[in-house]
Amino acid sequence: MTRADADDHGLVQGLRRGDSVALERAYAKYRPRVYGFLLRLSGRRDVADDLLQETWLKLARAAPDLREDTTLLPLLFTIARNQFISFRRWSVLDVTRLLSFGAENDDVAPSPERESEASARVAVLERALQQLSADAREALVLVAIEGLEQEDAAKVLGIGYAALRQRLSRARAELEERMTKLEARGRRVPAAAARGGTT
Amino acid sequence: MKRDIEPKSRDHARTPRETPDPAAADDALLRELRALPARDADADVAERVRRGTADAFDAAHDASGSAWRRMLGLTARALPPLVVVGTVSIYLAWAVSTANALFGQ
Repeated sequence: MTRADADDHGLVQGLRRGDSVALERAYAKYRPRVYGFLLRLSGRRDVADDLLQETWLKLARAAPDLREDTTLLPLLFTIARNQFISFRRWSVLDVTRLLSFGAENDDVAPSPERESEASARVAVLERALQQLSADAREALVLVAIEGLEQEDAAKVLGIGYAALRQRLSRARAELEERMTKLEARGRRVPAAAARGGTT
Repeated sequence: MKRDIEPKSRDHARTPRETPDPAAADDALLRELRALPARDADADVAERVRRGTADAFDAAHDASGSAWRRMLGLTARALPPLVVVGTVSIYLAWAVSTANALFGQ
C-alpha cells in the first residue's frame, strides 16, 4: 500500500466513524479535482457550483455506510458524474434551463480579457474540449487531465476497460480535429483583420 | 443509496492489456491536457459547500448512531415485501379453498 493509499484508507475510516477532521481533510484534498471535473463536464461555473454541493452532500450522507475498501476519488467522480447526468436529464424537461445550458457553455475557456494571460494554446485546448461529445469529454478529463487509473475511470463511467480505451482513442482523435479547426479559424481572423486594415 | 453511488462496471473481469494504450502514449496533446491549469471553486462557494457538507455529515452520523432510528429504518425496509408476501399467500389460500369447494370431490 502506497502512502497515498494509506492516507485515503485513514480518511475513509475517519468518515465511517464520523470524524469531522477526516471530512475536512478529504474536502480540502479532493474538492479542486471534483470541481475541475464538474466544470469541464458542464462548461458552466454556476452548474459546477451546484453539482459540487450535491456531490459532497451525497458523500456526507453516505459516509456511515462506506465500505472499508472504498477509494475516495473514484467514488467522488462517480457521484459527481451521476449528479451531472441527472442535471442534464432535468435540463431536457426544463426549457429555460435547456436554453441557458446550450447557450453559453464557455466558462472553462479564459475570457477574452484573461486570454492574454493564459497561453492561446491552452484556451484553444479548453474550447476544443468543450466542443467534444459528453462521452468523449468525460473520458478524457478523467484519464488525461485528472490522471485517474484507467480501471478506475472505466468503473466511474460504468463501462468496460476495453470500451474505455476505444472511447479515449476516439476522443483524442476528435480533440485533435477540433483543435486544428479552431487554430485554423484563429489564424484566419487576424489575417482578415490585417487585410481590412490595409484597405 | 449505496447502490446509487457505487461505481458500476459491466465487465470487471476483463482487463486486456495487449492492445496499445491510447492514454499512456506520451504524445504532445496528452502532455498538454495533463498540464491544463487546475480549476477550483470561488472561496465563498467552497466555504458554503464545506459548511453544508459538515452539517449533513453530522446529521448522517447522528441518525445512524441512534438504535431506535436504525430499528425504524430496518422495519420500514422489511415491511413492503412482507405485506406483498402476506397478501399473495392469503389470496392463494382463498383461491385454493374456493376451487376445492366448487369443484372438489
